[in-house]
Parts: sequence; structure tokens; C-alpha cells
Amino acid sequence: MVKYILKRLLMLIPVLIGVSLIVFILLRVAAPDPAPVVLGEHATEESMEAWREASGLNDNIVKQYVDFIVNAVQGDFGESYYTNTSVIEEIGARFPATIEIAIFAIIVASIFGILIGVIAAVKKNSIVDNASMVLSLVGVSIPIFWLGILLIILFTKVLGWLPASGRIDVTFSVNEITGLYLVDTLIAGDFAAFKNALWHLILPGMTLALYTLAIISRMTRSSMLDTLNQDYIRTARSKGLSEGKVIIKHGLRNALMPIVTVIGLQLGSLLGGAVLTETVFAWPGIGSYTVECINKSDFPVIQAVVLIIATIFVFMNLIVDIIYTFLDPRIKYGRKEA
Amino acid sequence: MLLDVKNLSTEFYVKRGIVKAVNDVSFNVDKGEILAIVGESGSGKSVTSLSVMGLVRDPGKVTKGEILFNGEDLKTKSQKEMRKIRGDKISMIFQEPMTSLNPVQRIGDQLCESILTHTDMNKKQALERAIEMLRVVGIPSPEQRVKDYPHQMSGGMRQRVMIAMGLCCDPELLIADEPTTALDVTIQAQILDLIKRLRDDIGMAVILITHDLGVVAETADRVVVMYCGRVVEQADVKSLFKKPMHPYTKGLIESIPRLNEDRERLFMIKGMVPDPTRLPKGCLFADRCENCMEKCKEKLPALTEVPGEEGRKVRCFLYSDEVEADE
Repeated sequence: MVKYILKRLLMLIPVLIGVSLIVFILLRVAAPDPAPVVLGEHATEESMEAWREASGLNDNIVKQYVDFIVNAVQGDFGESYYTNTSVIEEIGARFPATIEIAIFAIIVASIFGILIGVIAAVKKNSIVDNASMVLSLVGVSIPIFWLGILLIILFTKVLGWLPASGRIDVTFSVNEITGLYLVDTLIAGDFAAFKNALWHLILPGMTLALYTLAIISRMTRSSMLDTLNQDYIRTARSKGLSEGKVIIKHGLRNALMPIVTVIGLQLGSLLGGAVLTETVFAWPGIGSYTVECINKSDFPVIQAVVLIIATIFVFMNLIVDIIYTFLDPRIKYGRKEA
Repeated sequence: MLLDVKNLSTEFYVKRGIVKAVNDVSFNVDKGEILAIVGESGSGKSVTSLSVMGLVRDPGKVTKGEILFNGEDLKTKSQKEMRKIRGDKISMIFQEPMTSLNPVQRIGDQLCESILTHTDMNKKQALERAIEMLRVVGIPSPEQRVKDYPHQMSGGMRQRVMIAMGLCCDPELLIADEPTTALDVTIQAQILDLIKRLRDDIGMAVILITHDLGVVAETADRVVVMYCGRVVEQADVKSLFKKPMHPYTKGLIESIPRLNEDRERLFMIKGMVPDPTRLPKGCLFADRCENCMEKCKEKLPALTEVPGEEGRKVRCFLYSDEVEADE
């Protein structure tokens, strides 16, 4: 098992090289020249040329790439063209916000998605089933920015229950340890701030969760329908078990594999930043920041973010594969296929 | 009388119409008796057993009849009451040992689940009981085997586990639905021996559902032959094989391969089982019957007692002119 995990981690190297190569080349071939954006529209040709020279953009592309990789391996992704702070710091300041909202969204989506999916499968073709499947169809189809705006209108403008933007009110000061405000405020024992941060999280979190929830519930339903038709479900019933036990212990337990896969992949993409949600709710996460940097041709930031997202995806896949071995005793890694 | 099924009908409501999978079926099982229900695929034998267990699922429904178990009608019991009987007083083993066990649960846990559901034992006692049952069904080193998952066992072993699971609460009635069909012949003989031995040891009754007359001859005390959801013949096993009466039963027995006869081809019942949504008028077997008469195509014969042979019934105009009342 350890050997298997190491092998999978080694696979990360070619993945990262490939991804970085593609991003690197695309940026230099297709992205607009950052110099006029950085120096302003009145900058002279000479000053722009000097800036390009200083930033290494005039070097041969192979040399640029090698320099980038050599530095990146040492943990140096360069500095943002605009703030001149290190890219790692810039990303580090925004990543916790994304982690917080992603985890919130995936928890909400998993709990309700599985619940709805199981109920829909058990009550197949009933009103509950049809209603939940319509809901999940709406969930996958609805544009997130539009839903976000509707929720803001309802809960902020009309009802005045929830704040529409930011992570916490400015009146609270958070001592950042993890960068996750819900955790940090709890560590500090500041329950008023915790409540405030939670309140801020609900609208963007729910908006982000809806799509994932829809996908999870559909997957749960179809996986459960398949499982509930299996012979061992009939065996479980013939033992005289209660219907709840039959459905959860024998049904859901066997239906979990594809559900876990979806949850893992969804969490991976949520951690990559939710551009639309973060933009609508002015959530200071990695998604909206990346878009901002793309618009400004901030090459070092874009390169680093893409590599991080790729790494997250590889890790999520690995974690899902490891979870498989706990879910299904027939799956064993590191041995020859039986 | 342990189980007395009277006029049982089970129907399935499918898109193409109503399928009367079990139609007015009556039979009974005494304590310690092995009753075989024989028929082709689709003759309603499995649905009959599921009806007794109360496990007929949508779109199926038990529509008529009584299922008296120790004098109480199972049909009137609530789901909760039925759950107390299932797996405890009546248990069932299924045709597919490869898929009938939960693949992600250890054998021991699956056995204990039954025991814990129906008895007051604690987990440790339940595990001991599970190990004991595995030993009874002839699984070597059961102390280790309880920790196995189903995929670590062969088909024969899994079927033994299924039987152990069915037996762990000392049922009064075991329904075995094609318990040996998926197994090879040597294992088949072992499993049948096991069922017979357990019947002798603990005195449970067995309903053995099969299409294999060889299995019937070897194991059963009495036989019910079903065709298209109806009982066509009922007899004790010796008289059935000595003198089959219904042309369908004759055909079934004729089609068993024999080594001591010099025959080029096996006997075959001609034709096909009719479409269950569009059953023919008259005798259901008429189209395939060698003795078919005019009236067979018009009227359905009643299941009547054979004079002079106690407990023997047959549904054929060759022996009685009585017509089925509900037609």
C-alpha cells in the first residue's frame, strides 16, 4: 500500500511537468504582453523593453522554462508583476478562503445529495423521486451567478437575514492561524465572530453547493437503484432485517464507490476556486484572484495557481483510490491483479 | 401441519398486462418433511416461495389466498411481524450463491446479523453461534473463515454460508430456491446431503424449489409440479416417478437422460411455455400435449384427487372430467 502511494506520488512529476509546460507556452504565445498593463498605457517603448528584460521575458523560452522549473523546485514561484510580493504569499493569503468555502459546500452537498439520492432511489417513480430529480436537473443547469444574485436579492435585500459579501464584518478582527475563519474564531473563543463568519459563508456556500449537490444526488440515486436490485439485498430482507438496515447497511454501503468518486473530484474542482461564486459574493478566494491575474497577464501567479490546482487534483484522485480499499475489500493495491 | 397454503395467487402488474405468476396454488408441508416444487423457468415456483416469505416486491402483489403457518395467516401480518418470522421461523436460501452475499461484509458479520436480529445473544455469543453453524455445514476451520469476505470463497462454500445463515436461528421451515443449480455436480450432492441431514437432525421442514428431477428423486418426500403458475400434479415422490400421471410430468421424467437406455436423442417436450400475459384458453399445457383432446382447448381441468391414492392430485381430463370452477 505504501509502495503504491509512493508510486502514485511519483506519477505527480510527469503530470506537473506536462501541465507547467502547457501553461508556460500558452501564456507566452497567446496571452497579451504584460508590459503595457504593468507599466501603464503611457509607458515608453524603452521602459517597457527594460521591464521585459528585467523580468526575463526576453530570454529564449527554453531558458525561461528551465529557470522557472529550477526556481519552482526550490519553492520560488517568483513575484507578482504588480504587487512585487512573492506569489506564494499572495496565494497563501487567498487560499484559506477558498478551502473554507469548498469544504463547507462539499459537506452540505454530500449530506443532502446522498440523502436526496437515497430517498429518490427507495421511493422510485414517486412524487418525491420526480421532485428531487427535477430539483437536481435545475441544480446542474442553473447559472451560478444568476442564482447567487437571486439569493442575494432574497436573503439580503428583501429579508435582510444574511450578508451578501465578504468573509466577515470589518468590526471583527481575526487572528489568522489556519486562515479558516470558522476555525480561527473558535480557537480564539470569539463566538460572535464565529457566528458572523458563518453567516457570511452561508449564501456563497449554498450557491456553490447546489451544483455539486445535484450531481451527487443523481449519482447516489442511480448507484442505489442498481444496488437495491442486487441479490444480497433480497438476502438481507429474507433475514428479517428492518428496511432501514437493508437500505443503509447493505444498500448504501455498497453503492458508495461511485458517490465517493464524484465527491472527490468535485472537491478537487471546488478547491481550484469557484470563479463565479467568488466574484458574485466578493469572496476573497483563489478563483476570483486567478481571473484577475489572467486579465492582467500576471504570469508567475497564473503558473503557480495552475500547478497547485493540478496537484490538488492528483491528490484527490489518490485519496479517492485509497478510500476505495476501505469501501470494498475486493480492491487491493500493490499486488498483481487477481 | 406446519405450512398450509390455500388458493394462493400472486400477480404482477407490468406494462404488457397482468401476469398471474401464481394462480390458485394450494399445498402443505408437514413438520420434518421435504416438499419439492418442480417446474420450468417461469412456472411460478420462485414467486410462490417469495409469497410465503412476504418478499414479493412491486409491481407484484399477493392477491388471494391464505398462507397458514402454524395456523396463523402470514398474509394478514404486518411488515414488522413478518420481519420477526423471516430469518427466524422461516428462512430462505437462494439460487445464486455468488451474488446473494453482501460483498463488502465479512461472512461472520453477515451470519451474526441474523442471530442478533432474532435472539438476545450478545456479539460474542452470536459469533460463537456463527462459527458453530459454519462447522455444521461443513466449512473447514470456521474460526478463520468468519473473517473472510465472500469473494475469498468458492461458490460451494458460499452456498454453505447461505445455508448456515438460513439455519442459524433454528428455523421450522427452510425454503431452498434452486440451492444447487449454480454449483457443480459433486458440490450439489454434498449440499443436498447436508440439507437432508439437517432435516433429520433438527427436524425442520424444507421446501425445495427446483427444475431438476434428479434432485427431487434424491431428496424430496413429496412433489408439487407447477406449470404456468398452476399446480398440475401433486404426489409422493415414489408414486410420481413410478407412475407419472399428468402428460407434463411424464414429459419431464422422460427428458431425464438415462445411462441404461440406448437412445440416440433425448426426449423433448415440444413447443414453448406460453406468454404469461396471454395465457391460452383451456388447459395451459394443451398446445404441447401429446394427449390433447378437443375439450382441453376449451376448458381448464380442475385439480382433482386421484381415487385410491391418498394425497395425490392431478389436473387433467384424462383422469377426471371436472372443470376448474373459476374459469
